[in-house]
Amino acid sequence: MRARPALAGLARGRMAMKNSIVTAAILLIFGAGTVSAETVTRRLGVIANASGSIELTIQSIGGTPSGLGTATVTTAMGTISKTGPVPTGFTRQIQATKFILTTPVGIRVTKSNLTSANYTLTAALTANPASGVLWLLNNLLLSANTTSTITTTGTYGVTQSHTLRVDINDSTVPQSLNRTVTLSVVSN
Amino acid sequence: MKKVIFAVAFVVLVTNAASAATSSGTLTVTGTVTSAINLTIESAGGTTSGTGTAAATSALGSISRFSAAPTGFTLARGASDWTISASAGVKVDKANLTSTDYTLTAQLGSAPASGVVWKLNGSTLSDSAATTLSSTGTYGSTGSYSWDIVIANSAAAAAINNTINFTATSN
Repeated sequence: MRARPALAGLARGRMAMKNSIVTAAILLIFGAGTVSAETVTRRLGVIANASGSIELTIQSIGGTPSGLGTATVTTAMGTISKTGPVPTGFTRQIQATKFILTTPVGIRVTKSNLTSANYTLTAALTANPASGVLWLLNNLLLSANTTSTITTTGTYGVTQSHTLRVDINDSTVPQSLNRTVTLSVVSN
Repeated sequence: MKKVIFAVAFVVLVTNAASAATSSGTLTVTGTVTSAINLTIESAGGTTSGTGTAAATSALGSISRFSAAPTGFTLARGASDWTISASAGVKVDKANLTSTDYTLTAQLGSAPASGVVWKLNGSTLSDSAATTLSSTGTYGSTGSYSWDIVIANSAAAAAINNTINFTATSN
């Protein structure tokens, strides 16, 4: 009969020990509420996945550009005509029924965390050109209806020169020429 | 002792994206197309250079009443003067312009030497006012204008060099 209290005491002791282990484990995991005067250790688990990315920037173009080195560039040609001054950085070719303005455009694509060896560059206009005006990039006609593939083997990290060309027929009435070329790049 | 084991397992599922990386940019180009006309001198008597441009030169060499006419010229002798005659071809092109024709004028660059008269299409030219050669010039075709230099017998032997400035204005 005496043994019973002893067994009961042993059982209580085991239970108490079990509870203390659980408490200790919880404190170890969450590290909160530790009141030790010596050290406080907290661990921050960070889970992240570094995904590949590419960035397109426009490095150079004729005219009077702004925003070079970014992905959003505007360049002004000013007033243009078949016989007047040629915009800075452009060349003009006069033909029998039209004149052609061309300028090199430097486009750079950089990559990070990506095994891709090269990229595909496409271009399109945001609005179709006026009657009698053609926009071309690398001699590929641009429009708002279709996307033109400029290159399928673009080299990362290098500013590649492309030729922007605007053809203006003599029959085109005087007007604003403003257009935006959207450039899109996809890693291969 | 019953062991209590807390197993904390972080299972990190890293999904490598299978889709390609993309980027884009915009290039905006602004400009305004304006009208233009262009005058070129396509032909002239004499030994010419610069034809097909807006600045041609014609050399007549030494000329006199009794010698042969310069290349491309004819020579006619009057009682008190003599005239060498040729033609000048002037072309005016247009671009981005709705105008249907143009007005062409001519004016000497400097006063002619005493006793020398310059004429185009029969009209005497001066250095003080422009002479209208045509008010209905046709774009894109070379208009031919008769060109006469009348030299009085009394004129001093001297250079007669001069410049004819042509001006085309769209109508």
